[in-house]
Amino acid sequence: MLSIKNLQAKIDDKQILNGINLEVKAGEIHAIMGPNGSGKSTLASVLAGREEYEVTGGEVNYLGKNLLEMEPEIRAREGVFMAFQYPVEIPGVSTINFMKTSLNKIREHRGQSALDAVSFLQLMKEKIKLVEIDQSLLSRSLNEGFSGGEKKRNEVFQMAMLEPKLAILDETDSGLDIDALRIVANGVNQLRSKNNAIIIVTHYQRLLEYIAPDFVHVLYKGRIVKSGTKELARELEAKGYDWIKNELALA
Amino acid sequence: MSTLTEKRNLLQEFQAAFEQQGLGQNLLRKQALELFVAKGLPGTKSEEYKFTPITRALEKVLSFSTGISENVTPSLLQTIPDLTCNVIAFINGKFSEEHSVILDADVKIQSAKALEPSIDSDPFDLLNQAFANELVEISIEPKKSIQHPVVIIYYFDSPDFVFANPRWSCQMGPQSSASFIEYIQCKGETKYHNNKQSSINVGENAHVEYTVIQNGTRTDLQTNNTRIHLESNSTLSCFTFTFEGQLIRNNLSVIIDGQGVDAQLHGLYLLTNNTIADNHTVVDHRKPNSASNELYKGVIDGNSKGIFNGKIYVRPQAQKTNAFQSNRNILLSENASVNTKPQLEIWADDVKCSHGCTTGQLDEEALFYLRSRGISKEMARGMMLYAFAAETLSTMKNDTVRNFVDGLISEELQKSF
Repeated sequence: MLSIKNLQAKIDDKQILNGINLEVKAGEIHAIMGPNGSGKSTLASVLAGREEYEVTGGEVNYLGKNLLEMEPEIRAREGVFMAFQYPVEIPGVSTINFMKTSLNKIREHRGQSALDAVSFLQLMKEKIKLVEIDQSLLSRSLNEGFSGGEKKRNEVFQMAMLEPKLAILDETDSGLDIDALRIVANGVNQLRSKNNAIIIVTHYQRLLEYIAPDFVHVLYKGRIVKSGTKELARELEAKGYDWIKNELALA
Repeated sequence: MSTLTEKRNLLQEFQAAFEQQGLGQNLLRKQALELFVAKGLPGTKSEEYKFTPITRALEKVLSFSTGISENVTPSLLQTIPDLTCNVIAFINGKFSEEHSVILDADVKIQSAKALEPSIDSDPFDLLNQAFANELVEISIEPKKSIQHPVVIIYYFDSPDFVFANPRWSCQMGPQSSASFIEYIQCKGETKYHNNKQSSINVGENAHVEYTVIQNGTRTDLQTNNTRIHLESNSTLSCFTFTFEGQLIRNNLSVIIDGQGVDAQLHGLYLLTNNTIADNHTVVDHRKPNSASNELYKGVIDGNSKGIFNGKIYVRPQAQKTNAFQSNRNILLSENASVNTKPQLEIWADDVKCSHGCTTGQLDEEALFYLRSRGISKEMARGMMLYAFAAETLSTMKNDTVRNFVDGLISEELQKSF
């Protein structure tokens, strides 16, 4: 589904990604871990199409197409979804109206007809159960005045509504208490299928206790320096990132 | 004033036109003209008009034609679609009884005498008083609730430039309620300067909603002096929307002269072409225990310029006043600009007052967020600007009017983005 080859990227004049290689197949969950500043969020941002980042080399192939050439909205319509680390507050735009516009744009792209108000509400009611979010929250301005946990649940709710093929969760666990973490993880697990893939970007292992990844990759200084199964995540939790750094220094 | 160009001496021209029209027989008019001449037209050094080159704009186009027609086909006069309303029509600046329609029997209209002019008035207020055809007085009896809005329409249809000085006032009795809408309509390419003066006196426990919709032609010149006087326990909900025009100056004074008053002032200037929109507001708290809240927003594109000056006075006796003011602007082009200045003068010591102003571009992070959900850049911009702008009309009670303004906002945003 996703094939990243020797991806390099910079922001301003700072080189951050120094040649990432990653293969993600449908049905797989990949966790990208790494110490602060290793380039995890940059990787997520480059995949979602954030314009501040300049790709300086390499390629990203998504379902046979060059992902890097697509505008962010086209990536979304093609099935890429990023759950934001810091979801933005947008005053005056309600989550419901926003989701309706978004969903119908994506449906249009897939050659499906727009959902009418009734079917949209039905779908919404079904999906909000997944993340245990209060419906009244969704009539309010997007993320405005939401708690940290509510914002993250809103991200997973949007993911459930849009049914992406490739979901990238950028530090979705940061700032969550244990209950919210469980709810978010539960939502993600229910969306897991053999047809879609999920990339979880995280600093900690704790989310991976709830969402079992097939592969764990450690990012350090803009490169994937170690890959393994979920055992690797446990090892990292126990030994810390210094273990990796030391190992690399020795090598 | 010394700043006038040598080419034209507008003050002399105003004086000559005044004589020619035989207006000097009325002493109050004569007084008003003398005060106006003494004050002079505001030049670029005038503190109150330094960002608003109204004098220069008038020098380019002003002319005093005598043969301006007041006869227009009534069918051309249109108010807001689907709005059943009372209509007070000014045709080329003059009140037209023929084209005015009063549906609610409790709305009474008569000609009234002018008050003595004051040297403290704005020069255009004095000019209006010197040249106004008559003062149209609207009165609303105590305890009467007026069902339909009163639409004051300024209609222009003339081959020659129209220098218009409409003037009206409204007396609202205690416990009455009414809503007013001001609107400009223009046939074809008529050029005009609408120099309006109006006042509303809101009695005790009376409620008024006052909406101004400024969507004239590209050559539209306006100076508006509007005064709203509020007595105890009355409420005001005021809306000023500016979309199109060449230069528009709004002087809005709200005098809170009683306790328990609630005054809400909302403004939106959504300027996409080449418009100068200048809102000077004064909220004058003269009595204790009242509240005012002011929110003006601007979306400025092209070569347009927004000006906001918000004065709040809290007089020594106006203890326990709550007064808030906010002015927020989004600039969309290199040549768009805004000058904003809050001016709070507080003499009372037990008050809650705050003000704030912001000027910026559209939030790139928010744009990216919307795009990352499949919404195109243009649509995301439109959604965000619409949400920003539409906040100013969210509390408007009349659905028909709100939908109409909502439509104008959408239209403006789609037209240019």
